[in-house]
Order: sequence, then C-alpha cells, then structure tokens
Amino acid sequence: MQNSHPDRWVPVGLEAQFMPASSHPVVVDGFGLAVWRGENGAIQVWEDRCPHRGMRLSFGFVEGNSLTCLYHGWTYRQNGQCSSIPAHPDLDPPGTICTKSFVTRCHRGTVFANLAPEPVSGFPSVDEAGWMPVRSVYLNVPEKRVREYILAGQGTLGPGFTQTEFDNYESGPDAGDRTAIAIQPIDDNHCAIHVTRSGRDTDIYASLKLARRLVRARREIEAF
Amino acid sequence: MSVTDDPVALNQWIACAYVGQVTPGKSYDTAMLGQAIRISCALDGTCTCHEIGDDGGPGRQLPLTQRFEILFTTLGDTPRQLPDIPEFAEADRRVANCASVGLHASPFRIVENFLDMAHFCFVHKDILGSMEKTEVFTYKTEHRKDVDEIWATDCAFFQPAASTSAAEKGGGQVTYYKYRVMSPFSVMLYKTVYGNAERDDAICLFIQPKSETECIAYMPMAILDDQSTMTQIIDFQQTIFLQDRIILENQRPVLLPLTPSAEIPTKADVSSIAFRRWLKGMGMRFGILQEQAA
Amino acid sequence: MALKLYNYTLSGSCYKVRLLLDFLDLDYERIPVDFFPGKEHKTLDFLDINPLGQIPVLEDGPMRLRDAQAILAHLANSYDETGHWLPRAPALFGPVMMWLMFAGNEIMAASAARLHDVLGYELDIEAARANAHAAFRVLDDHLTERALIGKTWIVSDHPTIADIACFPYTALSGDGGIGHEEYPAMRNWMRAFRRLPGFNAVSGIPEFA
Repeated sequence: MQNSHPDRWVPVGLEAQFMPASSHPVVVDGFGLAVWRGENGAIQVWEDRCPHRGMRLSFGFVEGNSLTCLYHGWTYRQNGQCSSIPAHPDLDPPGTICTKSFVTRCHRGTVFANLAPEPVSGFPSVDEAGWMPVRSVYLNVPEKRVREYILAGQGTLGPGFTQTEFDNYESGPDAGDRTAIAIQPIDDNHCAIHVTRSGRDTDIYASLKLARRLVRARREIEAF
Repeated sequence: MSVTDDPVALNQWIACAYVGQVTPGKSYDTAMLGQAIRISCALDGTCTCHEIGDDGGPGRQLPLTQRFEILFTTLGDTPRQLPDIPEFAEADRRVANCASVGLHASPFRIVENFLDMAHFCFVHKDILGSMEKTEVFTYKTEHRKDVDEIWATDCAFFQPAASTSAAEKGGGQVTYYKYRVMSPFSVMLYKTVYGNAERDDAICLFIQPKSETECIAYMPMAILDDQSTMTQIIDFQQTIFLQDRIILENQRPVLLPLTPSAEIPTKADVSSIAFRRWLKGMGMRFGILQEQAA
Repeated sequence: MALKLYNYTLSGSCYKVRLLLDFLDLDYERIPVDFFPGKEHKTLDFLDINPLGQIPVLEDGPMRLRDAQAILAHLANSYDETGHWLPRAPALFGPVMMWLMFAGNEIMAASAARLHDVLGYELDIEAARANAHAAFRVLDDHLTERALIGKTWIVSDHPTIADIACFPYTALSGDGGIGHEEYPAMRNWMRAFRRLPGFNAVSGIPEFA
C-alpha cells in the first residue's frame, strides 16, 4: 500500500504519559499507530498492524524492550525486527519480518512523529529543558476550529498565542511562564491538543490549574 | 447498505437466527449480505422469512430451513447444500445451542481464527494453551474436491483445560483436532473427547455476514459430556469466543487481503493459506479487499 | 460455604465482585446463572431472589444483597482487615462513595453498548456510546489530575472499591465499540489495575499487561 502521508511532524502525545513498558493506540489523519515505550525509555511509533495477520499492535504488551502482539505472540525489537514466533520456537525469524516504523522525536515534553515515506522536514536537533507536562485534550471538532479558537484568544486560555514551527502554538513571548500547544489531527472531525508548560513556577499546582482551564476550554471549543 | 451482487456469496445457505430466538407470534429483523430480512414466527411455531422491502414491509419470501439448532435462509437460486454433520443426530450426544454473538469483523477473519492453533497460548491462555508449550506441529491440509471442502488433519496441541470437563478434572492433555471448512461462511472442528479415544466432539461455527464487516456468529455443538450442566457448557464456549472477539474486531484491514505480500503466513498457517486459495478459486468478491490497480 | 455468588462469567458487574473476592482471597461458591441465551435472571425463581431481575446477587449467610456496588461495600466493610479497600477517613470515604455511584450509573452506558453489540440487545446504541464517552471523559479528566500530583488510583494512595467498580466496563468498552484512544490517563490506570497482585482477567480483557 502506498504511503501518502505528508512530510510533516505531528504530535502523538505527551512523553510523560507513555509509561515504560506500555503500548498505546494513536490515530493521525485516520491512520492507526501503535506508540510504545521500552523499559529503557525509548519510544517507538509504528503502524498499528502486525505484519502476520494485521492485529493491532497497540493491544500488545511490552516486556523489556520488546513489543509482543496479542494474537500469536510474535515479538518485535525496538528496531522493528521480529525476534520470536512462538508457534515455531526453533525458528530464527527472517529479517524481512518487521513492523512499519516511523521516525520519532521528543520536543518540549511532547512526542512527535513523521509518517512520510522519506521525511526530510527538519526538526530541532536539541530539545529544550524545563518543559513540564500539563495534559492532552481530545476534541470532537476539526483542527481548524481549534486553531481559530487559540488565535482568537477570547476563551479561557486567553490571548497571547502565536504560531510556531510545525504549525503549533505557544504563549508568553518572554522567558516567563510559557505554554506550548501541539495539535494532532485525528480525522476530519476530531483532533487533540498536547499541552506543556515552562517557567519559573515549577509548582505542580500551576500545571493542575492550567489542566483545569483546558477542560473548560474543551467545553468552549465544542460548544461553538 | 445495499445487497451484494456477488453470486458466490449469494448462493449459500446462511444462518439467520438460532432455534428459540424468535418468540412465537413475533418477528425479528436482521440483515444478510447487505439485505434487510425479517423472520416471523406464528403462534404455532412455524416461521417464515422475507426480504424487507424499501417501504419497510415484506418483500420477496425466502426459503427457511432448520438444521443444527439454527434457522438458515438464502438469497440465491442455486445455493450450496448444507453440510452433513451426523453427530447432531447421535442420541448420546449433548446438543448445545450456544445462541449467537455479534461482532464487527469480516466473516473470513472469523473462519481463519477458528482454524488457527497458534493463538491458543495467548488469546486463550491457560485454557486452550500455555506459555510452556507454544509450538504448532506440522499438520496436513487438503482441498477435498468431492465435497469441495477444506480439511486440516493431524492437528495436535497441548492444552491445560480443553473443555468444561477437562477444566473440572484438572491437568493438561494433548488435544487432537480436525478442522473442516464446509462453506465460505461455516467451519467446524472435531476434537478429542476427555477420557474417550474413539469419538470426537463436534463444535461448529456458522457465520451470518450482515455486511462485509459486521457478522453474527452461531456456535452449535454436539458433544459427549454427561457431567457438565448446559449452563457450564455454554459458559465455556462464550468465554472462549469473547476472547477471540477482541482480536477479530481489531485486525486491519477489516476486509480479507488476498494478495500474498499483504500478510506473512508461517507453516502454522497452512490451513488459512488453503482457505484463501479456495476463496480466490471460487471467485469470492464479498468481504475481500479489492486491491487498487497500481 | 458462607459466601455464595449468583454469577455469569461475562457479566462486568459480576466481575466487579469476583475481583474483590480474589483481592481479599475469600472462598465462595459460584452459582451459575444462564444469563444468555437462557435469560435465567428474568425467571420467576430468580425474581424471588432479586426482584430487579439482575446479577450479581451475593448471599452472606442469611444476608442477601443485590447491586455490585453495594456488594463491594459490604465485602470491604466486613472482610478487609487492612481497611484499604473502603477507607473510613472523612477525606476519603465520601469520594469513594461518589465514584462508586458513578460506576453504577454513568459508566453503565458502556455496559449497554456492549450488550447491544455482543448479545444483540435492542437499545439506542448511538446514545449509549455517546454517554459512555462522556463518562470516560469525566474519569480520564480526574485521573489526569491524579497523575499530575503523582497518584495512580481514583481516591487514596492505594486502590479502593472505587477503582474496582469503575474498572470492568471501562476495560471492556471496546466490546461495545468504544475505544480508549482518547483517554491516556485512563489507559495508564487500567494497566496499573491489571498489574495488581491477585488480578484475574475476563474475556475481552487481555491476559497480558
């Protein structure tokens, strides 16, 4: 099947929410992804489909730094290679059996992936320290509606957001408290925003306050 | 939803209700191959089946036949004959009507899951398979041309608790299986009876494809078990099927891909390879992923 | 045996009770009820046992209780020496009750969707799914806040019957066409729950965590 994904970096979630030794389902532009993390902390973004019989890998389980498919127990290393086929315990799985994986980077506490077949679009080579996770918010509206809301600055989140690279947003032009919002397109009628913050106030209750404002903002955006 | 035009799919007897499902004096609306149908039962128990017309009223009458605790109907003029399963008539067997379960999946994925042993250790952990013995030994597959059925024989698998009676008595055993695909939408297995080397339990799966991606699965069985209650027998079957259901609903693509490079089979999958070849050979289009021309 | 449970394996409500019985390591007798296709819970004999025609029902000696939430509270109250499953401290007791009620009300929309998709029950499936998603949002929002302050469980620093009551229909919601893609905090909580010692899965919940 042809990969026709555009060459761009899309957020798939907050780094802090992908626990070590866990796997998760994420949908970008209608396409299913399995995002999983080994016990060593490395995050993989793969097509949510085992090459054997198409079972969603997001239902799989992680042991050590391998992901095992729930259907027949085929196990894959972090590089995507199949390392074990339990129905044939003496078989060394051929190198051709591997999952479809995508490049992934973390930036400002958010995990990004690029689904294009040959991504060339640049990504900051150095991450920034000091960004704290706030929360992800999933919305039953197209991403356009969310972008309008953020830029209009009329709602609970207030004004002051400007567009950044990768078509995301941040507030607070100075070195004070800043909020970053990364937008994930899920499908024509759904999207998600992944929010992190950075600033002098490292008190967790500042993040909690912002998390509550985001829940209110979700209601404002969807009520429109 | 519109009815399929695939003559291979249309010319099958397809399960549409289980015996006892429709209360006498009432009717039950469902769908088959994209066609809305209605089964109506009179107070004396006789039932009829009709297509539901565009106006919501009864359309063309369809034939109805009852076998294996199930009511079957067909949209075709020359349907494939229903299979012979003599076990259902044997007097010393318990015939279990396990009713039906709905699921969003392709009928062919359901057949392949039924044929598959490699998933026992994972999906049916500690019941039909255990992590100590995961190997699937070589078995035989053939297309029996005289009856036009796919058969898999010499299948064996170590099972901790292969049935209600085995589970009660504790301890594992090697279970021997034979699999038989009687039609594109039906499959059954014969499995070792706990404590009886001569005869097999017969466990069947008849699939009603409401559409290409939504089915109802009926699981009647004719088994040798004079210890378990019917409630326990049904409970065991439902437990197993609901474990398979989360797999079946989460395979992608939903439609069955027939191009060889789409999925990677191993030697444990020879029965499903034979099944797919058989579907291709009979020209089945319903439920099959039609690849785009390059 | 003093404890008897009228049980159907696939019932999420019965599963709530079985979970606590396992966590408390209590012996009990299971009385199987042919819920489907037999509809045994609607028979005259069963209506004598529970006039609401529902399972689970627990018998503890002469006491007979219906409603999974009430049964959880009784078992925790009578048999949990640690006092963890039903904490009495004023700051915790009320919230546990609140989430217990939520489990018996709002979350049950996911049970309705499951009954429709799996067993063919006739009901408004679109409404059931929408209501389940609305309930999951409330639970996920709460668990998101809990995670921000470093807590895993709904109330308190260890699991309570609030977690047990909310778990089954949340974890089984896929059976009714309600996925977990939009609830990251809830996914992490379910995973932590499945890793509790004494946890046993039911069909529809993967055995491996």
